[in-house]
Amino acid sequence: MNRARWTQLLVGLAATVAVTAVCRLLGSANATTVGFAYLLVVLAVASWFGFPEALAASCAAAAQYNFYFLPPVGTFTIADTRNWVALGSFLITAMVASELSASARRQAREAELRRRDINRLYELTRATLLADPDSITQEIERALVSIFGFRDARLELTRDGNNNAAAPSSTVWPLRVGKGEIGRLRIWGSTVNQEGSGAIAGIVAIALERARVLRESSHLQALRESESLKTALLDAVTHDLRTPLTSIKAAVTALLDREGSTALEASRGDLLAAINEESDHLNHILQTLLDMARVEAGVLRLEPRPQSLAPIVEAAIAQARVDPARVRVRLPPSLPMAQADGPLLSQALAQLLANAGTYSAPHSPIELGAESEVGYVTVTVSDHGTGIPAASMPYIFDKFYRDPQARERRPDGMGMGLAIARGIVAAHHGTIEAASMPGSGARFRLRIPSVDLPLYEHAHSDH
Amino acid sequence: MSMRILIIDDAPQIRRVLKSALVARGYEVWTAATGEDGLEQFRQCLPELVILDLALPGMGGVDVCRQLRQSSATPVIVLSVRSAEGDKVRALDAGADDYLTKPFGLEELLARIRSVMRRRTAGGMGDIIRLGELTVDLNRRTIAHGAGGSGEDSKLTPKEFELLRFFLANSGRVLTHRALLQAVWGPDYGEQTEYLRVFVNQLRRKLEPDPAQPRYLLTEPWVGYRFEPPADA
Repeated sequence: MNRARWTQLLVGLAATVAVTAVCRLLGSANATTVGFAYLLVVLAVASWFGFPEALAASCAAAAQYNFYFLPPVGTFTIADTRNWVALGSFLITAMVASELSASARRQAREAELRRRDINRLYELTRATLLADPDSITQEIERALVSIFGFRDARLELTRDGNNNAAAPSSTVWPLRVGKGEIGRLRIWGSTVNQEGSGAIAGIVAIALERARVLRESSHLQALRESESLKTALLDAVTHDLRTPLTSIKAAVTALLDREGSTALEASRGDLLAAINEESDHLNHILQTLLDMARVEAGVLRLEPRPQSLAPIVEAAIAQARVDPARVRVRLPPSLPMAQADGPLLSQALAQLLANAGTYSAPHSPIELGAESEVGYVTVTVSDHGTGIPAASMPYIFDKFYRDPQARERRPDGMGMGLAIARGIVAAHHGTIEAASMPGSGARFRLRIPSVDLPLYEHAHSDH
Repeated sequence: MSMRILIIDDAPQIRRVLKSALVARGYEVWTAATGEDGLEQFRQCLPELVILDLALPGMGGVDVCRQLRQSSATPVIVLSVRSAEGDKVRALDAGADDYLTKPFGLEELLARIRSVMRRRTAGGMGDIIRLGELTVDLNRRTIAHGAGGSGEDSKLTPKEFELLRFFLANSGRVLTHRALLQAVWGPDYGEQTEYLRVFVNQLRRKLEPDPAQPRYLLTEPWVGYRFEPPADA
């Protein structure tokens, strides 16, 4: 018995002594009143402290009742038989009442414990059902420790195969879904009984199963989406590839045809030129597809380093296949360097230049300017074409989107150029935006993070 | 005697087309499908030129190039694709003489072959070089206008002179940024392409008839520069 129980016992005894003292001092109290007073004290002890304390208190009360109040007063002998009956009924009443009130108290405590258990299980359910399916194991382990106060908890899932049996001072609960065991829950410092552990293991197993199903269904969803994307891509590509292939095949078979060769002699050069052009076209399609695939897969391996814009612009103009004389480049001399992957950024810029060239009059100028902003270099490419229709504006950076007007002007375009440019710029942590006023041309603006570095100091020290 | 060329490429169609085209031009052509086989054939046929695809299965083209260079100075032209600038630079730094980006025309390949071979037989250029209207005198470090070298002179700064001399010694060859920086600025350099840009532009202003459309000092985007000698040199 611990100290608290001893204290409770003594308090119980002291209370009976107090009743005796008060009744003696008042003097006038008759035996019946005193008996009820003792009974009250015993009941109070029973409901506050419990049965053993009440038992001790009732014995003490009976003894004092006998000694001080039942005649002959001052002895433990009882003269009148009726007083025996009184003492006996007092003792029995005291004991039954204390047993009843103590058990009521016990039940209340158990109900409180059960309520707490249910509350914890509820919290565990909440925590595990709201958990992200990808980090479910860690979240369950964390929830078990914080909600139930375990020293540590670890999930050993069958599919992970980590069944390390040797973990001292831990208890293991199997996790079952249906008939199969999906793993085990290992707990250090468990204070939960058999029933509780079953409930916890059940909740954990259901949460794990739910996460698995969620993961699988979202994976399926993603697969389905990428499948439909692939189909769309395949359709577009098949068409784009077949056109140049058809011309090549036709031209080559014409050249191989010996019977018609004399008649063909005049157009021989034309046919060969067509084959040459169409091969270039095929190569362009292939490169576009490759670029798009790299942008899409997010595997653009950027090798960014401080780059001045001039070589990027030069390479872009060379790559874009626009007449270089049309491009008016204005780069301020004090422009900071861009933190960029040269070849990729020039490809994005080439795309904008090529678009500007395609969607404006053949000899109209294309302006390429740059300026510095805080932390960024911005490059603008403007043309003097018909601009971008407002209705198309929200979609021009989408893959495969082709403005009806653009389709008319360049029927063989793939609708990927701006999507690629945006992908490249995004990989640089930059932005790209388009602006257009009807009839006054389109204007594209790239923002690329800049680096502040002293540029030419070293190089000029030679003079 | 016809010149012997070894083609190392894993694509049979490319081997076939290149072989028939080069044989038609009077070259003797050997072929290999892998890097390992290529090195073996190289020992057997001792070609005067190697055409090497960079994207080989197994041992990569850059490694083949490096191994070839350990035992031989035979010119190597590497074949690569766009968006593989890094590979081109590595191959050139490993000792390749020139590169071609796939797909390429046969005329372009033949021109590169001729240029590489001419360089090999001619070696570097002399001390006095004629570039169109200009006469460059490497001894006096001057550039003179007019055919007789009698016109107005412009002087070269020491670094410009170093750079030009290196270009002329490797005339016709693609020089990577790293190779140029290390040759002129020293072994600690390699990344400072901006210096090069500045100096090449200064040289262009002194050498080129139209610095905006260079004829001799050509930019190889993202790889380096090339000094293209005048046709009559």
